Amino acid sequence: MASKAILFSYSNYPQITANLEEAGVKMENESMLRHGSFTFDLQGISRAASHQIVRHRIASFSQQSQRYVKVTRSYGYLRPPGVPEDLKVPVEIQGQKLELNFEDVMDLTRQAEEGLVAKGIKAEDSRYLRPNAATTNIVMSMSPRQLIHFFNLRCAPDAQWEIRDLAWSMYAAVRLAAPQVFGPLPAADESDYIKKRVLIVDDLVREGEDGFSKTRPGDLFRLELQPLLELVHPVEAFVRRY
Amino acid sequence: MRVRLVGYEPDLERVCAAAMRSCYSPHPGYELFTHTSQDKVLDGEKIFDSERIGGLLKRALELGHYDILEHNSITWLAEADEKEILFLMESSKFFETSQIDEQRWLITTNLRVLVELARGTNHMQLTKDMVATLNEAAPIIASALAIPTAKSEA
Repeated sequence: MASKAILFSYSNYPQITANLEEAGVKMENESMLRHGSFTFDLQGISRAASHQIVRHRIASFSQQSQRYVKVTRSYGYLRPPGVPEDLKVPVEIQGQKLELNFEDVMDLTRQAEEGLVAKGIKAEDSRYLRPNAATTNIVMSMSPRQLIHFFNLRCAPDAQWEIRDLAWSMYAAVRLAAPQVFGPLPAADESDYIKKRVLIVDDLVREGEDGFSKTRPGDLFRLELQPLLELVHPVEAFVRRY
Repeated sequence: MRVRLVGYEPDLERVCAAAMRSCYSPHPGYELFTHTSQDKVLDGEKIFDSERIGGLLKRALELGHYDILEHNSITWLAEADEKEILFLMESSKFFETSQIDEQRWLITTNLRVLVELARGTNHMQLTKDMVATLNEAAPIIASALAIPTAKSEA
């Protein structure tokens, strides 16, 4: 299942600019980078990715609880594309030799966690069996300035594939929602990889502008990222139209 | 006017309430945010109407779970001196300021910081004026905190 990056709340810069101009104030776009907030709902991402995301500050996060949301209602996992579906590894448990693939191991941990819960172990303890591949949902807010810092680091070719895919999807979303403050990434000056992809995002956003402008206020517009962005795994990017 | 509200995200209280509920729900934040009618079924979730949003936000205030109030930004054009701006910046990492001229500043923070200022012991006029604008940006929170409107104060 695809992960989703939904930009559902963000500063309305045309309105802020109009209000300031009414008061006789003209701000440079660069100065506006510190004034505003962008809120994403990141759905179906791995705990491995969310652990990296929450390292970023200054930002705000609200993440799905593993204590309060029952494993039976929230179970999911993300298999890294680099691990082939049919690849099996030998394991030995209580003298029994088995050949397990990634899915088998995920299924084992799920069964064990559900089994502990069924035996009356608290969810807060049973969840210790949950692997890094387990999916989660997280609401995340950042100012434009912090987002640019996040993109500079996480859009880089040496970033881990899942957070890099998310970062590019989020970058495309903010370019569409707020072209007044988001332009080419500063990191593009030092990386041909980033420069090439920023140009691809330029094209994707340009192609999406017409559809976005015709989207009914309050609805989501889906930005088509593939195949041009060559994401490693499926991520769907959406922007809520004001 | 010393403080003029120039920007905030629409529906910011609904965003905060959805973020709060997403921590305890199998359903993600955006699905909760848009769960506004019976047309859409979200197993185990109440309709996200103003009563539900108000209930969640008031619970957050009771519990002191202010973190969920951070998912937004509110921006003012304000007349202030450097001492006042320094006070703001020392009070929270969530203040961002830009100096426009000798007297005027653009100030941005979020709902969490405003609630903390409203509940704090400092009653600097600048912060009182900023808090007074809560009625427009976040009426449920303003009502829960019993913040008088700028108009009724006058």
